[in-house]
Amino acid sequence: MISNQPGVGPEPSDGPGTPSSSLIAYPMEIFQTPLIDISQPLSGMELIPARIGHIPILIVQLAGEWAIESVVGVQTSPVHVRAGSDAAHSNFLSSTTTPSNADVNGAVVPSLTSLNTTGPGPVTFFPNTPVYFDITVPAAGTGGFSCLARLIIAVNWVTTDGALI
Amino acid sequence: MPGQMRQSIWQGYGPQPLQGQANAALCARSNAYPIETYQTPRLNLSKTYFGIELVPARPGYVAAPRSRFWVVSSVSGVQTTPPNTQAGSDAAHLNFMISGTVGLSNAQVNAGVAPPFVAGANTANSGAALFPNTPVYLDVTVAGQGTGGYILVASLAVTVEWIALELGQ
Repeated sequence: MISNQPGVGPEPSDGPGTPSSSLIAYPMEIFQTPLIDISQPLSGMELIPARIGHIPILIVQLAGEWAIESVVGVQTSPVHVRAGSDAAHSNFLSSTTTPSNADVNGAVVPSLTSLNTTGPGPVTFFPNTPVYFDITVPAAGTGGFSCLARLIIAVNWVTTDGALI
Repeated sequence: MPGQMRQSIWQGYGPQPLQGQANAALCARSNAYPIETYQTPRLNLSKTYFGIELVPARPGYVAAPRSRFWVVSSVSGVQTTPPNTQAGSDAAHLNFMISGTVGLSNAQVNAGVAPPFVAGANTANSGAALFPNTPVYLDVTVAGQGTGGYILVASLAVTVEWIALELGQ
């Protein structure tokens, strides 16, 4: 009964014939962008890869962080970001405006600050499709402002198909 | 040196001292099992179910509930009464996820969002007695009801953190 074969796919917990859950093939994963200048627009960076038959779910308890690595000048308005596998890139992360001015201007680099989002409410997901990340409104500032940061998010994988019992 | 001894690598054989047996009483340990996600088969939530094995037993360990999601794969008709679910390793099947209809309310199911979509499930139970070596079972205690050929098909995905309760001192 004690089954533990991570990586071989969804697996019956208690053997065939018993209504039971399956261990998801993919573990919790953490994805991290390259270093991004958030004072510049960005469209369509692949944030999470597609996995056949699965969709990624943002882990609320690890809802995402920015790693701020460099700040020049003073930020006066924050970046707007979003992410998703839908056409609008909005079904994974709702539009959010972190890191805030206080986060950026108070950062002692390198340092972490919360992404401060829990993801959108019920929205249609698209299996087999990557999640793309956009900066829709770049951060702005004074004094030759630029801010280099990385976005880090943690996901669970769940399946959208399988047997109906 | 203690700093070098801390470089022990998780072997996968169970709770393991960080600094060797001599200091076992003063060391935390790496648990044998990673965080895992379990997902039920797709359930027709216009029916009741009892005793679906949601999380398997692991000797000496209990499964602490973390994230809980309904993955809704199809909706037909209009729901008028939400399905009620609960899960646990105790006799009442309540000590893992409390009884409720979270995520599958009439408003959420009837909102017209095209499946598949995901909704948070019932609140995790905390403070209830835990039972090592015992699977966690899921019940659908009240079937969803509706009109217009109502059928709601969804699966429950839960993430668990394994906690050893038989480590000794």
